[in-house]
Amino acid sequence: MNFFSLYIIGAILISYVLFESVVIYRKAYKRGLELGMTKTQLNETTRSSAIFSIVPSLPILIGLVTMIPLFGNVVIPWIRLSVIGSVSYETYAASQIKQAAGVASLTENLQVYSTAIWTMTLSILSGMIILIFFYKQYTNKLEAIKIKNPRWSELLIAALFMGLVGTIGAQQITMGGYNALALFISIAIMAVLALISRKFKWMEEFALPVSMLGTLIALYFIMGV
Amino acid sequence: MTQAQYIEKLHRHGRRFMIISTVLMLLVPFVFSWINNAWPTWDLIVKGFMTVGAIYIPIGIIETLNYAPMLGVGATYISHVTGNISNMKLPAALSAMKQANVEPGSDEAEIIATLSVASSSIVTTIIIFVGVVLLLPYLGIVQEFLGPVTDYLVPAIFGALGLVFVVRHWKLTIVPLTVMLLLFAFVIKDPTIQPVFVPIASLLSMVTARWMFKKGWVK
Repeated sequence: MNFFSLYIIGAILISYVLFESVVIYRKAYKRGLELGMTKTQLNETTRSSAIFSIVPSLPILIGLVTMIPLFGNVVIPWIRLSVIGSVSYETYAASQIKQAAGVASLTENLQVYSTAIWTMTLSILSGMIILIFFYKQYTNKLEAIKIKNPRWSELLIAALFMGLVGTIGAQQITMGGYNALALFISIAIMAVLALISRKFKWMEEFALPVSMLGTLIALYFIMGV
Repeated sequence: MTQAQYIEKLHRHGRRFMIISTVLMLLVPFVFSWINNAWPTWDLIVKGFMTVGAIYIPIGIIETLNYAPMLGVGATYISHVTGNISNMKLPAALSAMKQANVEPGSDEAEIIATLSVASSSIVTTIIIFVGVVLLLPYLGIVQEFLGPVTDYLVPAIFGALGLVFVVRHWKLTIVPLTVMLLLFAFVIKDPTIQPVFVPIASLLSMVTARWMFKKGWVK
């Protein structure tokens, strides 16, 4: 099996995505200044989001390692996890093909391997295709709601988010055990930090990463006991 | 430049970004098949679509429509290429908007969300790359220490983030949370399927919010 060319395509794809992220970032930054936002405000957003993203990136890295035996190399997991997709999705998709083909390992048959990576790629593209063809019209519609009733538009966004919070919250609570415990520890740490940051405004930036990390550290000790 | 002009330009740029990314993503399986002369077989591709595509294609569409209003235009384009939206990009953007004190949906929120999601994407991409290059031989050790705890990253993020929003809009939380709790406790007990219900919960939440808004219970 020849994977060398995939490293090159992977490098091109990932560099391109990185480049576009920087370009769109700079456009937004410039536009923010035009809107009268301060550099401090914009830089603070950048810093806090960057800090926050470090810890959730680590499980992706660990997930990547767990995918290596399935794909027999590092390049496919690296590409698939640097762009849209997730460890659970890629593993599910590849395992389905493996099962359907009735092979013990994907690497033993080139055609099965090829089907697996085609399926993984094609089945995750729908979001991007929708954006290409319908997103502009969709934002125009949202904009119309905003102009007609700005207060409802705000509530609508909050309500959509509550769907996510309600689902994940209910999932973690009904899973019980360490999941429910982690949820409540995180709520408790955040509650304390929110009270403190009323006095010390600079703390706000660290509230989310500290709650997240604090919860994981607490769990580490609780699980060890 | 007006905000409408900025958004218009962003759409044009974003579309090009989506098209080129889609082509590059498709090149990965294409080049593999071409170089190794191994094309997928029809029966397997059909099976793949029945088990994988049939689930994930609709999820992808619904998630996109669900998350786009919360993220804004710039952040939507970036996050749909880089992924990990619900567990990383959306929490990062919402927390940044809260910290910057801007209302989701406003012109300022569009900017904050874009900066937030772009920096988050850049950080993750670099961590994965550096991790693959440098840490690969040691990742077994890292996994041994971190592995058991990282399973609980989702509740560790959503507890803190949820609290902030629940305090602010507690009336909007009651219905979706109660219904989902009942559904997951008695009907859909498999936690791996449960996240599929996010759009349904969002729809339910939207309908009840509209009703409360009309009744004047929420302002």
